[in-house]
Amino acid sequence: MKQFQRLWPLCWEFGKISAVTVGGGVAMIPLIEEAFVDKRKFLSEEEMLDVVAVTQSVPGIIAVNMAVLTGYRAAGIAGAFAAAAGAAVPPFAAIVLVAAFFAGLGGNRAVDGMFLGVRSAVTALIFLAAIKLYRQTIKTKFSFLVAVTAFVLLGIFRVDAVSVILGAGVVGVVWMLLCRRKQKESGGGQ
Amino acid sequence: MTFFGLFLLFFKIGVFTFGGGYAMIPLFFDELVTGRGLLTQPEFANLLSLAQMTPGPVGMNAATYAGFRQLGVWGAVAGTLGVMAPSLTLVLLVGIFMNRFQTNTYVRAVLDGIRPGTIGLVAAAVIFFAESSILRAPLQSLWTGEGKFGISLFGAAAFCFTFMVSKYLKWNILWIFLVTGSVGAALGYWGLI
Repeated sequence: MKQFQRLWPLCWEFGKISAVTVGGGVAMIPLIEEAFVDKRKFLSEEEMLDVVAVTQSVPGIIAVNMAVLTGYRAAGIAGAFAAAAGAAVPPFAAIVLVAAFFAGLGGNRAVDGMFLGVRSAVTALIFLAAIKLYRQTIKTKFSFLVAVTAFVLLGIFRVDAVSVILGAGVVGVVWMLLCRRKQKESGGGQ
Repeated sequence: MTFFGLFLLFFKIGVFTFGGGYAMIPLFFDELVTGRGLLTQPEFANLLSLAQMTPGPVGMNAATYAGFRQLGVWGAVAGTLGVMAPSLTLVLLVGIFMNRFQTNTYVRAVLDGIRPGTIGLVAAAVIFFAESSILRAPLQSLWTGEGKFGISLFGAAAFCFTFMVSKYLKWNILWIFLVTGSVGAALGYWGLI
């Protein structure tokens, strides 16, 4: 069976991709394309675009979402599980090793200094990511207001993140309904 | 925490993650630091720094690491499975009903709200990280007067350095960590920070 034969390649390729991507997420897209569209031809270019579009609009970790959807498109539900397992193994092994190693290193001044340096670097990297996201996503006054409100609620008032996300979803629906009503009213006047 | 408890905790984090890694930080922070007191704020920042340095997606690394800290290898398994479970259930369903999902007006409206919201999440993550690197006390100490507000000179310098080399010279993330980490280790060793 063709689908059955695809399970191991899915698992293996996603394992390789996941092992070489540091930082994760969207950086995996070109690698997935190379492996499954160009090399193995499991997916067409168009299907790949679908996968990328959907992964951005569903919850969950982007890298795992991409593995699940690519696997599903290539070999059904078993394919989804095979790809996800492949993606999960390398980071799992790496983290368990690192965690076991660093567990005994707390309270050392040099290690504390090293972490302070790395944490400051991460702060700057997240800051850059926020700027980039802002440029990509904020196109209207509505989206600007939602982003600023979410930031103030989380960062200053320390509202919990789940409430902010649920709230943003509700605001999106309310806004859509308001826009629709306005359209109808102006349409009726003509 | 039990195995099942950890699984549920990370499942919840996975369900509410939109837009990947950095947007998860406030969720992790709520659940692990403020909510349950499983980790202190600097421990939490270290966890995420390690998650950045190791291969694989940041969100999954963080879940594996946090799980390991709670229950050892089984905790790591619970964290990893928990945070992956939403992708394996919800996303698979969406994949099966792909066309109907993407064209639904309400789904699009919800996402139109959540997408800009995640930028707020990422921006808030900058503050959480700054509080355990550049700033010496939580930001609120500015107006509540609790704790002494201050800035770590080394932290601020490492922040500016990273900002410049990443934005303008496109340095690889691992080189950046190597430089800031080893300067920090040296300064820490000689008691200068």
